[in-house]
Amino acid sequence: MAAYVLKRLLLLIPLLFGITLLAFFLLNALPGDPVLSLVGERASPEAIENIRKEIGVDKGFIGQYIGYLKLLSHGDFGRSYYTNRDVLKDIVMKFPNTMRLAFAAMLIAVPLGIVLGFISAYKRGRFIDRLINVVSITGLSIPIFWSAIIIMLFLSLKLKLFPPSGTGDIRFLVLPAFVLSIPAMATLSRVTRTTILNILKMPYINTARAKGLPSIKISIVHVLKNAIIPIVTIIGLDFGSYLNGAVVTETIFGWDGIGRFTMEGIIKRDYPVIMGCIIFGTAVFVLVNLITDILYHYLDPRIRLHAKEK
Amino acid sequence: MPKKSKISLKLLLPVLVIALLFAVSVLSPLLPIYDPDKIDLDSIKRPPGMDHPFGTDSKGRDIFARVVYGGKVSIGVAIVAAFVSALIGFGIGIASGYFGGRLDTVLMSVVDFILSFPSLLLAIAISVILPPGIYTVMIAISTVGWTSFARLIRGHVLTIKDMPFVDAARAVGCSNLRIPVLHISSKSCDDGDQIGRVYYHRSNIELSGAWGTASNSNMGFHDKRQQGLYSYRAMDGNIPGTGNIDNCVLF
Amino acid sequence: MRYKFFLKKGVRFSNGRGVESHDFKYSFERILDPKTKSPNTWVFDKVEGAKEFQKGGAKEVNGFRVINDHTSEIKLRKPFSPFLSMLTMTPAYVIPKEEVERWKNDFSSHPSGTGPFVLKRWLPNRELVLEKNENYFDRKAKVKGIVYKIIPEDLTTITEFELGNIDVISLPASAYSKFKNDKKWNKYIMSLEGLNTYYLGMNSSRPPFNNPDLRKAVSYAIDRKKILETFYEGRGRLAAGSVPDLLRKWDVKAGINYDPQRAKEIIRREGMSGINVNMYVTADQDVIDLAEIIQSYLSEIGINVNIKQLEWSAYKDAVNKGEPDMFWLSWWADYPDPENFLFPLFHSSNLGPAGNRTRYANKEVDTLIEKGQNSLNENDRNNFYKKAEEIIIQDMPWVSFWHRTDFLIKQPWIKGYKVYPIYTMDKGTEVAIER
Repeated sequence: MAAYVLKRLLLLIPLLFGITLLAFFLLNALPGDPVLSLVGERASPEAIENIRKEIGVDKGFIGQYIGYLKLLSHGDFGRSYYTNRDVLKDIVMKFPNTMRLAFAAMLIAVPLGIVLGFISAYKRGRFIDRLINVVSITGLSIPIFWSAIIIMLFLSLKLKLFPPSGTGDIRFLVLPAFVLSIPAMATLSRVTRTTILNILKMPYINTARAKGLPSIKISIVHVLKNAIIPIVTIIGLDFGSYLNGAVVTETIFGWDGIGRFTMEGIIKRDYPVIMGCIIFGTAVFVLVNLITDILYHYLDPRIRLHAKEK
Repeated sequence: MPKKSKISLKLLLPVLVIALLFAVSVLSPLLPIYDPDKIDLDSIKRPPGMDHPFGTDSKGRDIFARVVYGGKVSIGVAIVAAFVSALIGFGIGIASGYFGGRLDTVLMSVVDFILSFPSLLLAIAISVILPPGIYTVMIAISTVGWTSFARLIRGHVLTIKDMPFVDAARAVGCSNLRIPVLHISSKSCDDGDQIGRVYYHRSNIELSGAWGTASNSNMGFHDKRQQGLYSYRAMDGNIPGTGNIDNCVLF
Repeated sequence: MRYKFFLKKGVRFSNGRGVESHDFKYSFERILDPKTKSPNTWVFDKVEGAKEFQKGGAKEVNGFRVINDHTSEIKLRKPFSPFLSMLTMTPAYVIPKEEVERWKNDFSSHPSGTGPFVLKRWLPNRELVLEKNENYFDRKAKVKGIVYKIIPEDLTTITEFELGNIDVISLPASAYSKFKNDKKWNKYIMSLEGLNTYYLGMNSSRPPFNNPDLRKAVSYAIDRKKILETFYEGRGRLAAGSVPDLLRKWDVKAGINYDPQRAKEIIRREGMSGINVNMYVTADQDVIDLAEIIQSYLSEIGINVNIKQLEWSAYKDAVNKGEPDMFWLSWWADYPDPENFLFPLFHSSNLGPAGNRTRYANKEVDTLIEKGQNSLNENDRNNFYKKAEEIIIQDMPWVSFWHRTDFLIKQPWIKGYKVYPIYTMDKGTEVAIER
């Protein structure tokens, strides 16, 4: 196991190389000049040339890439072209915000999603099942900006329960976390339901029942244990994507996180910011997927990650 | 038998509604509704009424007509993109889970690569390289969409990979290719299909919204426009939003 | 051409030190210094000795002369009438050398100046907090401080305002009619007649729009007044030329009216029916809407417009390079002088990123603008500018649409909030809170 983890972590390095190379290439190949975001509407060609030299975009993309690697080797992520602030400092400031939001959203989504899925599966065909089905499909289909606005108007403006925007303590966290949790909750409830229904069809459930085990024990021990894998996969995918920043939610609720930071960097072609966020985002994703795979192993002994053929 | 009729009713309703939507979309040029692109500066931002059942937008265009026309595009895109993503994701997921080892590591790294790359950058890149249009949107969604299928299927495959029936198949002499393709996929298909579809169309919606630039009448994009029509009751937003939801519920 | 400046005594920087003439010399030279790599060198490059300093030939700019601690002189190479107005801009603010050298690259996070407020805290993209400067040399601020909250989404802004969490907001266009029609709120709306012009630019350096008659046809084909009144909800003043109504000190003949018949005649005469042109716009919903309206008007006279949406960076790039046939853009005043709307936009030396994006080149206009810049007599100046603008309106590289009016709305407890057409005029010292 330790060897496996180490191997996966070491793979992070070539992956990062590949991603940063591709990103640099794309940024250079795409139209859009970072210098234009920096200068006013009246820049003379000489001023533009000067700035281009200063930020280093006058070299070809290989030259720039090497320059960037040199920077990284000092642990320096460079300075934003736009604000001239240290990129690493800003990422370190904003990333925990996104983490809190992602955690909070999953905290709401996971128990609720699984419980709803359970109820739906066990009461299959009855009214409550249909109700949960409709609600979860609706939850999946609603575009986030729409649900965010409706929730903000209702809970914040009408009922005055929570502030509409801002970053900070739990008061500001509730609304965006709730909005973000909806798609995850809906997905989890449907996935849980489907998986459980499939498991209930399995022969070993009948065996357990025949053996006289109480229903509850069957549900928790046998059913859940077997259902856990797809559930964990979904949680991993959703959590990973939230950690990379739920841009729409962060924008509407004014939550200062990494998603919005990345997006604005891309719009302004703020290369150091974009690269910094990509590196961070990749590392995060790889970590989350790794943890998911490790959990696979511990939760279901049938899964062996070393994958030796017999 | 009672069980049978329950199933057919459940299937019948969505199929009917899809058929209706499909018919409306196809027949839309013939229907007595407004031209969705006709600009009329004298009827800007009208609320829903007799003349315009869903009201008008900021340029005086009839919203109902736009939803109908846009729905056509969205449905088409959703179907094709879902299909392609499922196909790719399935194949990769099974291969990755069954063969494991280096193949698994490489494929999952590709998944990590795609999922961590900021989608906006990818979107800009694709929109520059490929001409704007429906096909581009489909390609774009499929490029990212297969990943969730792949991981789900892989997870499933990992669980059943060492089950007795697989050993049995091997003992009988099934080749290494036949096992995954036939036996494992048939077991995974059912669950994977439902789960994956559910997960998938979520990302479809988000991406549809982001990709609205491809087509003017595309419904996902349309929601964003409605948001601009600030209405205290957010009623205008409700209508295309619900239109969107209706479509998705059926899938 | 020499300007002599007499400094007020007793003005201090926020770090306590008194301001003296050499501080101005330092601040201005810093802008021109090639090491600073400022994009705003154009503010000072008319000063004598500036070019040599910029090229690295001289160690200082000899046009900036310190006579004594409170007197200094600026000598220009030749008379340049907008110079004094340009000194109101941010690149001309005075800053203490020791602070710049202390903070280096982080100076923008720890700025130091002589204003009525000091920067207490800056969280980029979140908020900016200013605190009252007790040592301000003029009338001090009436409030303890000002917090600027950065809220990216219009709807969120309005919600915050309605909850009373924010005191003053710029009213987003989408919410304008809601508040205007609300008896409770509409008396708190303040209008800001902006010094700007929004225009449809046409690339005048190549076909098809190098043909001035075709450009005129485009102008006849669009009912700008109607668009302003309906789609734009009257949030602006119809533009006759490129110089905003508030800056123009001369009369200009009424602009071209909506006359689709005449437009069609021109098209027929020039044999241009059915031509295809491309129009670039940013991915902004309002702009796209406008483009589609323009497209619909032009299709009625036989011009097919192909709208291409680009994301902001790509858009600027493309327009600067002269790619599109038509594009939608605006120009906002940097300093209150009509020269700001003539020289950068229409002088042939400024093609592309320097401002002249329609690539318009007319020797007569060039000369008239230059004469205006060099004449210190206001009447003469206005005459030159007036003639230049008339030619530009005739040639029509732009279809000028409107001068946008922006709106702000304040809470009932905010008193004395004044709106200024140029943000540098706003010192924030009159506003007060009364609860």
